[in-house]
Amino acid sequence: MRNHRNRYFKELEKQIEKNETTSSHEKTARNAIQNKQDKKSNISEFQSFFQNCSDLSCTEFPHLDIKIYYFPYLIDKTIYDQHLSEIRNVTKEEFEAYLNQSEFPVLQDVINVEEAVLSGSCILFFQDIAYDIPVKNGETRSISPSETETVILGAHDAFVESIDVNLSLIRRRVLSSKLKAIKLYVGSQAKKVVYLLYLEDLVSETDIDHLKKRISSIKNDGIVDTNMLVQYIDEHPNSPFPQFYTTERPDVTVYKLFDGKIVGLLDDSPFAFCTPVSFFDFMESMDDFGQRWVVSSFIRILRYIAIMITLVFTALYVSVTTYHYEMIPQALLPTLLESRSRVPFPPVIEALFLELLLELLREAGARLPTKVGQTIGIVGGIVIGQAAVEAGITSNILIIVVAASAIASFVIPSYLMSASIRIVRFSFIIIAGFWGNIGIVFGMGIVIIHLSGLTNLNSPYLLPISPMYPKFLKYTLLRGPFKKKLKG
Amino acid sequence: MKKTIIVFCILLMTTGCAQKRIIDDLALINAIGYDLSEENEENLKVTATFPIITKDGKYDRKTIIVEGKSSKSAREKLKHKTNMQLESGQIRVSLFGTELAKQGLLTQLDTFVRDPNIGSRVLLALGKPVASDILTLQIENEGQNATFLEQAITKLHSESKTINYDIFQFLRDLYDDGMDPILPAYKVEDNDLKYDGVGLFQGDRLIDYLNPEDSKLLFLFRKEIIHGDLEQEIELEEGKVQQIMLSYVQTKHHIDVNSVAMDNLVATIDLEIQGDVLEFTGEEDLSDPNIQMKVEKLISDQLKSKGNKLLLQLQKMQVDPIGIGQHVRNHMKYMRWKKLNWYEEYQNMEINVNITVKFSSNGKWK
Repeated sequence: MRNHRNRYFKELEKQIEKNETTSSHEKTARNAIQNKQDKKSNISEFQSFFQNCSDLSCTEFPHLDIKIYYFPYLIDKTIYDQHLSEIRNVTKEEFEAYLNQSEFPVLQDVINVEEAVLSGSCILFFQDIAYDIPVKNGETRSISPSETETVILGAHDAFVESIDVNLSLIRRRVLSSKLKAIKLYVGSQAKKVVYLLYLEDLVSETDIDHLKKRISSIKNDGIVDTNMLVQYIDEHPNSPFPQFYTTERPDVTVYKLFDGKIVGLLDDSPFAFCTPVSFFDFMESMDDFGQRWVVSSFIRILRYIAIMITLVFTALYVSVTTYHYEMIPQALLPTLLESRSRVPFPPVIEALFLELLLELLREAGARLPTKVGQTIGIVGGIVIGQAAVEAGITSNILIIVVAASAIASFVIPSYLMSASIRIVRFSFIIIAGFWGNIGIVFGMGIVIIHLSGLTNLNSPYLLPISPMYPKFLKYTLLRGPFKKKLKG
Repeated sequence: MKKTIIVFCILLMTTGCAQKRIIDDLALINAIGYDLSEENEENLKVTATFPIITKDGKYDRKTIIVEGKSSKSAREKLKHKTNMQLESGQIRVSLFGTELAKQGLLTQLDTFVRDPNIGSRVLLALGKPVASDILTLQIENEGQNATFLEQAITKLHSESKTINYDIFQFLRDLYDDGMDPILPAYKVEDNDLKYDGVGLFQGDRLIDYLNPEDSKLLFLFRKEIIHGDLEQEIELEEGKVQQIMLSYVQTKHHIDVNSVAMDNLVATIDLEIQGDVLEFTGEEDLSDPNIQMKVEKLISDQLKSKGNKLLLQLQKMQVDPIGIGQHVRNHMKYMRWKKLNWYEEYQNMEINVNITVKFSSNGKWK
């Protein structure tokens, strides 16, 4: 298994190197073409780039022989008007002098011109020279509380879709020049900005190089969100478990930074990813740090119990009612027999049916507007809660079991992890239907083997447990008390 | 990786599926009773009761009686009498009729010990006179007889502590040298189930029953049972009978065996109990130390005489539920114990009882 993994890494690295060489090849080829085209006018090439882009505006000043290209909705109209009013009443000579001493950079390459106009600059063509007039419009959603990761104690702001705002939210919290930011691009046609943030001294350079290589090797376009991006760069794409921790909370991000993790930000995505993380990072919530350590340790234990309930509770119902009737306590037998006696299906089918119904309900609720979502809740509550039992499709006990495991799945703080575990649960139910308790034990074994085989930037996924570091257990499984640093 | 997956799948698939036992298709026997058949002496009469769900969805029970040569052959016949799959993994109580118990229980218990579906915590009890009477009895509004019996025996167990009337404890007492097992007995009275003392065994054979009052005294002498209630009639003054009730705790339990002389074994049971007075019908002031001491003395003497009578009775029956044999065994070499005809010796040995009763409180009064 280990040899195999090493081979996987080598292949991955080879692939990355190959990608890099091809990309450099591409660049030289492109440059060659451009040198040839230099004789042609910049402006006509620029126009050919943006053929059929009718939303590109062009303002002409024939007396000055200038053309200004811009996307009206990407620029700040007021700054643009200011610039324009200056231009209107000048002569050609004056304008030339003004341009020569102005701060507007000259864009040599037509590719740069393309990039500039797309990122919200006005391009001023004067005597076939392109000037970049930065009038970028900072129009973004305002910072609002997080919807997916709510906390009671702690900061309430969340990232927005603008990378500048997101960077500011992080910089504001880390007042140190040790916070480094590496700018990278992903994609080949429509390039997107990715920032890798880390605290110097806390992060190993090899990790950063590794991540840099992986990110810049992505040639796919259309990566619109961080949660998509991490699936391009993780090491085990076929695993059901999330391997990069993504969050939309700046305070969590900063906490991870100080924890020695590398944080990635993607433009136009309100999520940041953190790596290398372990399975236990998905069990943390920012609330844990606001509570007293005893309280939050209890809550952490509660979450691990919740994972167990979500994974095996329904499966246990199936295996006990199908194979291991000896395990049922005497007092539970009457109610179980009574409610099961009217159900025509074997327990596996019954359980799968109800779990499926619940997943449908959850998915419907997640996609619907809030107001309609309430209706779904009521319909689901009545249909699942009462009618299904009265119609003899499911037993009362199963409803309790399924509801308990559904509730338990929502206890897991990370939405990604909770969804993964819900999916794994289905395989547990099926395996319990075939092999009973032995099947469940088998399934647990497979899951644990799989989890301990996962890596995240070459760091093991079950870090303080496998490999075992007993000292860290109280800070991962529990939330141990903060250590005070005393003066002197 | 692909190879691993294929091998793994083959491993799983070729094992085949386990036999499905979906609970609503099962007849889960919760109590089973064994008797000797009335018609044929060699045959066994087996009564099994299991819960069923009636047509209108009510929880009810069904009781089947069959006869067979052995308990498993009887079970084969039981299968023919029900439409459901018979399973014995939920057996909670096993009852034995008096006549059968007199022949010995070991042959019957064998199946309980061998069958992996049946745990060692199945409770055992005796049916007076037959087990089937108890299991077929339909008590109004009481539901399952098995549940009733289980609760009753568990209650008995919790009242007297430590003694478990389950297979484990029975076999432990049975195979322990110098200790005889006991089992609680139940009978049908006025269309109701009633606890009726304990059955005394010699080895695995039932010898006789003790009535509930005497069994209470027996529990007092057993070391494991440290809690209990005592009800005594005392006469502080001539002709004035008063009732006193104690809730006691054993503070000292010691059995001493003097075996210096080869043929003259003497055992002494030293008992000290401390009790709270729960009820006293007399007018005397128990908080007065003189009266208290007098009452304590009276109770001690009475218990002593009663105990002596009980022990004589046990000796006559040649049963040793108190475990005096253990102490005798511990006081001699193994070879001598091996040679000893214990029951004969037990019958003739001298057993003294010393009981000291002390009041730890007089109750809430005053």
